[in-house]
Amino acid sequence: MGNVRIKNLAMLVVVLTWSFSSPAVWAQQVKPVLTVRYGKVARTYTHDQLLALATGTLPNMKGTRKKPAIPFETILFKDTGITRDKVERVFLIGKKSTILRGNDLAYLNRLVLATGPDKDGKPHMWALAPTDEETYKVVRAHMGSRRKGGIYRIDIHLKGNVE
Amino acid sequence: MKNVIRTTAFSVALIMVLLSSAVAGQHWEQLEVLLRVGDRSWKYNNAQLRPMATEVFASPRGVKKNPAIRLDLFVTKDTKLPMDQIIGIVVIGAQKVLFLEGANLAHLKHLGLKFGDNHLTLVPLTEEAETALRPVWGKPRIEDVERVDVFHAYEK
Repeated sequence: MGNVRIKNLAMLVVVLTWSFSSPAVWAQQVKPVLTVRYGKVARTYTHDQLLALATGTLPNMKGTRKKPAIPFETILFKDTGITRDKVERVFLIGKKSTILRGNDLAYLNRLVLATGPDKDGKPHMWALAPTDEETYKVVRAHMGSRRKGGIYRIDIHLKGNVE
Repeated sequence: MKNVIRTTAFSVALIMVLLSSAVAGQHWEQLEVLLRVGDRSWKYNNAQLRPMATEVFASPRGVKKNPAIRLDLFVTKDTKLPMDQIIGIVVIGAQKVLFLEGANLAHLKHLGLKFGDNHLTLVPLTEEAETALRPVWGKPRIEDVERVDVFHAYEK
């Protein structure tokens, strides 16, 4: 009888562990971490999808590691079909909001979205970063710090979109 | 034998309760708005937002009236920011973002966060504000407001 009880308890532990850990892990993998929105259209990306878009690397601040980096224009234009000349403003919503417009838009090809290694099983959030000093000096007025972290949404305002 | 059945039944019931509560938790949505100024932020829930409503927004037909929070009061109440220090406001809705700056900031007191069933919508409280902001606002309202970011002169 004691054996049966132990077996039951073991089964309970296994089922509980599975029911809590599996959906959590699964949800983390498929949950969108970034939304790109333009007009009425929204495109969402999971962490893995974003990693697949990364074609470059960005060194960390100490220069000891390299992080996967997506050219910012890839995020803006690849799936949306938008061209740069149609963009009026880009809102980056993360820990802080950033607005790129006017002359800033000429530097879109020198910005990247970079991520770090997973922490405690959770994917690292994405940060906007300039790839060179000149770009940093231009966008510094909006970005403040060198990297803008925790970005979860990008809104693109197109020219002539206002009714 | 009875004990085995009892233990198994208890285990199954426990699992069902835990799973159902987890699922319910995922679907539970509460009205929450984040107000952010630089590195500081304030999060408001429905119970905190309701008492802030000092205005009443009437629908264009006048058949429906909803309480509304004046936007200038919302951004200055807890932040203690003087209005003349504010240089920009980003209102982030679920589907749209609105950026107010320059002369448009003069209309802040004529904008309101209107209460819906379980969401807030940014609306102009006067005809004058609606006309003035139409070029930056566009036609659709800023619905399901989830966050308001304030830029101030000191930060710049």
